[in-house]
Amino acid sequence: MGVLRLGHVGLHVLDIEAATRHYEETIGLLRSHRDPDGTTYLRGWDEWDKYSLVLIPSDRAGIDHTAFKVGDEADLDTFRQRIAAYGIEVADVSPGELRFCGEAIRFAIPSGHDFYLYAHKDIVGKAVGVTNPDPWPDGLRGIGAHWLDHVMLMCEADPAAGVNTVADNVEFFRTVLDFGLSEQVLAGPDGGFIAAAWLFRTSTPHDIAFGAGPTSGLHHVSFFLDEWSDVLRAADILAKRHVHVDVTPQRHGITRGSTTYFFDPSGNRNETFAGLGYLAQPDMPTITWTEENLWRGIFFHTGAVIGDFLGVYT
Amino acid sequence: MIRTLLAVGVTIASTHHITVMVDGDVVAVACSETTPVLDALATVYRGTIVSGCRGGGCGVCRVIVHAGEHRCGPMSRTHVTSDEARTGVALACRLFPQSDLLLEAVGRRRTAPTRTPQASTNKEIRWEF
Repeated sequence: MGVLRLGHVGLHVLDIEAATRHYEETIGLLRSHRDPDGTTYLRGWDEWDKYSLVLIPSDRAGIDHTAFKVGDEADLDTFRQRIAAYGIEVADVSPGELRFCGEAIRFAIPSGHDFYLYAHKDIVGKAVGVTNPDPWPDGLRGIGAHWLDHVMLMCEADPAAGVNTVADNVEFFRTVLDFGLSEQVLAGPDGGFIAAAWLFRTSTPHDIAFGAGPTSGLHHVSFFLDEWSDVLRAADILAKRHVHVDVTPQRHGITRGSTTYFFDPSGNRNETFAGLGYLAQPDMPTITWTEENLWRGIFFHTGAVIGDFLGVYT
Repeated sequence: MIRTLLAVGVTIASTHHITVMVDGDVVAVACSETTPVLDALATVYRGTIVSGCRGGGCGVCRVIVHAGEHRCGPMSRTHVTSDEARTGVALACRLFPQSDLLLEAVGRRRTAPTRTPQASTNKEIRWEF
């Protein structure tokens, strides 16, 4: 079966109480568990696995790790061999080491980010249940996001020095993990430099994205909403709660998603993203955005940079 | 009016003068003890110090406190190490004055500071080839 979907993201936060309030009360995630040291496990109301977001009390902000779920343990064996054969070191992770998960494997992708693949995670069930369910549950707080949709990572690139870990990641994800490349930004002379890429395993336009930057880090984690009106309502909620908004509601050219961006209390960027864009399939021809149209791809309505969107990240 | 406010228990936070050296220019602004220095600057000057995440996480609003008492909220150690913090390095979004301050802006800047609010003149991100 291979990789199924994005399983969870672990985030470093500077103040666990402020972070938990943000993700529970503003975004509306549900708390599944909290460790004695404050590490908190959250999920969207429409997810059945125990958690899709881990908040880790820390002295720094940014991403700790990304984990994708695979179909079964046989997939773990397959990927362990493939990743090692690719020349990347793989560590075995015993059951429970990745909390509430079975065995897993851990490796670093070419941009240096820590990754896990796992097959089993404890199930708690969707908030609406599985028997004659309502379309949404009572008691949702704030934005009431459905699920963790995708993560975008900043990947070290230095064109003058011939370094591009975006390109390295794309090669790895396509050839080893069987991801499809839905969209890309090509820059530089002859468009030979892949500056950003969007990849999928599910049928949504992307499960993960990579962007070129001076250092590797986290650009944003994204939570799914249904449609435009939900994005506008989310923006109202952000303003009501005095959340620092990065980009007010806008359409992406890339992925066609409607979006608004904001920061959590530690400075990690969040997105609430709506719309299924288009049907991504392994045989879908890749979409390309040229460097001159980069900002139209990112902000279709504005067609220009907003804030310091590619320069500010954790 | 002030006496009336104080009589009914309204607390007015002390306000201090913040002097910021940036790219050979000097700008000054008033800032209360409960307002981050970045916010005080942003309301008056655009581009003095780039405003990023405003959460202590991204590091673009980096300053050095050369003089004055201050306190800081949590800042990502990726951008300000403990040693640096001891020598006065801070992120302006997490910096609260407790006296007049003399700062140097060493993080990212967009333009020379202008007192009139204006649209961002941030250049598009370009990769150097």
